[in-house]
Amino acid sequence: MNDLSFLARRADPSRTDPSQGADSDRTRRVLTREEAIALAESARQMTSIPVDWIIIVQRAAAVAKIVNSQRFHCIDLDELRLEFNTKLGSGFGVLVGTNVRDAATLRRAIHSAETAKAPQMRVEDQEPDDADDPHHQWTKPKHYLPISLWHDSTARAMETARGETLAHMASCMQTLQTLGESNTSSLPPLTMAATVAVSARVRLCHYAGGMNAWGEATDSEVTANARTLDGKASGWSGQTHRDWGQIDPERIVREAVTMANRTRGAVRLEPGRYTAVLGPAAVGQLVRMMYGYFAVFRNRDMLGPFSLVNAPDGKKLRLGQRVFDERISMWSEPNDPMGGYFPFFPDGWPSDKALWIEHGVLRNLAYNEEEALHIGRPATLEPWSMHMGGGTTTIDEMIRNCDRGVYVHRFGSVQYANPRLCGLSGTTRDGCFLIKDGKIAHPITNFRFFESPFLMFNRILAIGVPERVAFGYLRPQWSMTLTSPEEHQWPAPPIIVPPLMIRDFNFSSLSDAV
Amino acid sequence: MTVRPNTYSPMLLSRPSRRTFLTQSSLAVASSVLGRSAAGMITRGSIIVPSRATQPVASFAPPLVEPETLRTLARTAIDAATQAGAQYADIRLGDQRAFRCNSGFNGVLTLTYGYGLRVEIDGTTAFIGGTDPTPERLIAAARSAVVTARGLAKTSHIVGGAAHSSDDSNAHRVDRSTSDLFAHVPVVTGEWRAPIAIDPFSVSPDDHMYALAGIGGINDVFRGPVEVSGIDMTWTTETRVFVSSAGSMVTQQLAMACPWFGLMGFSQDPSAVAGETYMPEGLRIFPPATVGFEYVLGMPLRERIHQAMVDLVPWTAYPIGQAEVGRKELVFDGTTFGRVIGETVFPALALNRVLGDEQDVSGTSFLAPPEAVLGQPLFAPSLNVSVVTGGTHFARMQWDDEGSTPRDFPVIARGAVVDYLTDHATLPVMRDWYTKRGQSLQPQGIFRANTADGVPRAAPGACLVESTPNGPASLTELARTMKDGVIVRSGYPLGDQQGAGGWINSANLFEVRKGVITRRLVHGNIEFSTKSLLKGIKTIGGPETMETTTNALTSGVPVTEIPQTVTAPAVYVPNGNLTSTALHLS
Repeated sequence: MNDLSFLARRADPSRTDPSQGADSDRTRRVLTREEAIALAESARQMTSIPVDWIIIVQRAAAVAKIVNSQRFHCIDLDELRLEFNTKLGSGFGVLVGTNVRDAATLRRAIHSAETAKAPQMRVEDQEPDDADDPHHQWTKPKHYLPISLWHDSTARAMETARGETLAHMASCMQTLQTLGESNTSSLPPLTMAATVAVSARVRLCHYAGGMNAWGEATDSEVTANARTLDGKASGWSGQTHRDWGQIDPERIVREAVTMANRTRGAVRLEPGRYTAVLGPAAVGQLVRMMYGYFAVFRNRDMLGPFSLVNAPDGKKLRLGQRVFDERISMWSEPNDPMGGYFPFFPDGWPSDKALWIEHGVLRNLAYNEEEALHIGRPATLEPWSMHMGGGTTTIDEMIRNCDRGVYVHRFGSVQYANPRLCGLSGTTRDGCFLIKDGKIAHPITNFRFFESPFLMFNRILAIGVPERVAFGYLRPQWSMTLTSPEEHQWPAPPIIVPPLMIRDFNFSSLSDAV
Repeated sequence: MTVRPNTYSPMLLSRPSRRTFLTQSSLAVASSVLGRSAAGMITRGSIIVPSRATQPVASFAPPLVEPETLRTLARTAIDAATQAGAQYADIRLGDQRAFRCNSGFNGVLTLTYGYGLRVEIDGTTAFIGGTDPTPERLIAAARSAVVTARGLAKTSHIVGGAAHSSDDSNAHRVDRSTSDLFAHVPVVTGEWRAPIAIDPFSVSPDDHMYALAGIGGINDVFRGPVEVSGIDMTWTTETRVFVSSAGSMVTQQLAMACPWFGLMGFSQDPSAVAGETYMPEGLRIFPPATVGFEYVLGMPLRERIHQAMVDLVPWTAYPIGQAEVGRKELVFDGTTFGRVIGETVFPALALNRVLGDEQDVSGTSFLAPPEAVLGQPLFAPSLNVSVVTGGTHFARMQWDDEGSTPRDFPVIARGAVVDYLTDHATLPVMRDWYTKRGQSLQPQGIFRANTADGVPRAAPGACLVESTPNGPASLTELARTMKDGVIVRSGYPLGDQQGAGGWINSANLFEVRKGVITRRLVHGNIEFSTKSLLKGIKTIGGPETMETTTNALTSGVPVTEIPQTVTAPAVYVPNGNLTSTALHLS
């Protein structure tokens, strides 16, 4: 039996105090690859039923929230889950989260989980082992793209960042107000709420045939909202990065305060179609709603945006055809230096870079493993992380080149209005401005919009430089994707998008919301 | 089918023996005694339960942690917090099982064993939640919360806190930096168990599926273009303990039943193309009078579902047409109107949201500031909305997660907001208003979290919109005077970040011309401003139009969802806005 003393070491709350030393091992709250494999092997030996594969997922996170320096919420997550699967019958199908700290308690947790399944899984029910079974090949060792998603700075920050950073941000807010750095001293004061979120995650897919998929990642996100006391002006800013050292809380506060002050005195503008300059945060909120439409099965029955209707040659998909502006390319890349994600399916099957759109042409759709094997295409995860590139125009340049339009900082409450074709509706928020004669003229009240990215991306006037965007709160929605639900849990997987200048964006009506 | 009476089957495995713990607060004793029995627990998990299994559902997971263990753990945490300097501390500890089953699929048993700890120092609160309630982790969490709250209390003079310009007439900052934030938390002790006749967890999965199949069997005998498209039941049982530094200690054996029966109508228009044929009505629920397994047995539920199917048949016969944008008169069925209330008014009434707690996440409120809203006739005088405690299946508890007893109370009376959704931290804000109305500052008892580790919110379990006695008894009766309007059935409203407006998506829009339903409309959407919509209500339907639906109050990061039910009548609004969601991709 493997030594599982590392479980207790990882779980001990006192050992993660960075003040005890900068040793990355001391501050690490989640398992290492070696520890996870040792745990999987120990768990396999403890089961009385042949287990085909074991998945180990551990997620540690700290989310802290401050509201006007008076109310503070902190949520600590530390979940270790083991999932057992076997070929027998309908499968083991057990996910067990446990505060297991030693071999004895692990054995007890496994036994209590498998006992319930015992009537369904008798060894004599197991089918004879067949060396020619493709399943055996499937579980052999695989090659995975090398990734680098872990940063010790973020792991350390999990214990210190919340209190320190939030207090620092509150202090920045005071400085901006009292010293008038943003010319706010003559204006009514603002309220502020901020959220700091830090996480670490590991995943091991461990197969009896030798396939071992391993991934470890850290992530962090800081958001802030400043709002006038009369509730008529609001500003937001956020930043997300896997490396906590790259987060700049002062800049986030400064931007939120600046935006809130700049939206004071908003006036109404008649709804309609305008040239829109969308900030990266706004673009990201639209792009994330597109993911499920890249799945091949959503387009097969001529119901999806990439399907052809009444195609004479019998082909129903628009693969190889130009579907967007030729400047647009969209891809998902596990080792994307601006984000990245685990290079395998939730069950461990490798997933390489996927090029979805290349210079406006649809190059690939997502096929699962079985489909891919059947038709000879590479299996690809449905995108749940997207990089969109294609331009270098700055937001200032977009504004200068706009005679009359609307600048949108971000959207809120984005939901499907026409699910079949990704018709989206929502509202603008935290910064909406009239552009006139190449300049920001004044703030305007918020709009409701109705648009589809699949239409919008054919009305591109300019594309900027992509950046990874923060989201903060994401309202739960009917998910269009079928990837592992945990991948859609907070924090949101990386979305790297540019600002866009869009012709005839549909601001369908006025919104009373601020 | 055999169904056992109210029993809770013991786990087949032997469990570690447990001592009877004395009511003492020694941390060392707690650690040494509980370390063995609290560790190795399944803290969060999902177990696939085979649908044909004949042993009780409860046998697929370890039994619930004993209440005394939870109480001792809770005292450990509270003692640690107070010894570290907290002026007030409370904790919720819960071990929950949720069994979800739907017809034709294996069931899923979800386990959650967690804690939520709250401390207060000098007007600053800190909350820490997690799913690893061992003594060591609880002590560490308590100390961490105190350190954080103390540090933040020192910065409470920063912008947004108590000190701001007193001559700013537009300032609506409410001072919450008082030391009596939790002065109104009652001291309660006791135990309570949800009254049920048949414990769903003592029933086998096979019996659960049999019961659901009996409901789905309606399809075999029903003749018409309507079917039961899906059945989903989630049963929940939980031992939850609440302990506070003020001396409260309550233990509850909670039970919840969340039924969902999807009905699908099929358009009889032969010209309907793909996507236009289906007429889903999945938002309406049939709330149980009880949360025990007896709910799915017997005829009353089947009769209600059957009647709903019968009622849907005539609506499938209308020809299909494209929605034409423009101003329209509107009739909402009870399901749609209930969700409008649930998606806009109730989030906006959450006082912590009014005060800015969610401004960087889910949003704020259009019903702000309280002093400008309370008592003002913002909505139609016929609109009356209340929070109710009986007759629904969510949040049945003797005490909420602050130890308060839930009560019925109005939130909108004769078109005016008369109350907000509060917890003990926000209740003092209502002091002047309550005094003016001769009311005592009494907690509402609606502070709750889905699981013990979740951040609790002021979230009512059930809401009621009053119907008009002897009012119009049907949608067609409400639409009789419409010249050019739309009936919205089973609409799905979504509100904006303030609840100030939203849009309603529905596959079941029906055009009305001169009081006669002419077509079913596709690719239509209703956009609305909440104030305009609710102010413009002309007629509220009678009791026969009452329907119950469900929605969730969402907030926070990570997002938490707390479900609630809304029972509402149909309404007629003379002035609405129909838009189109048609898209054409080249």
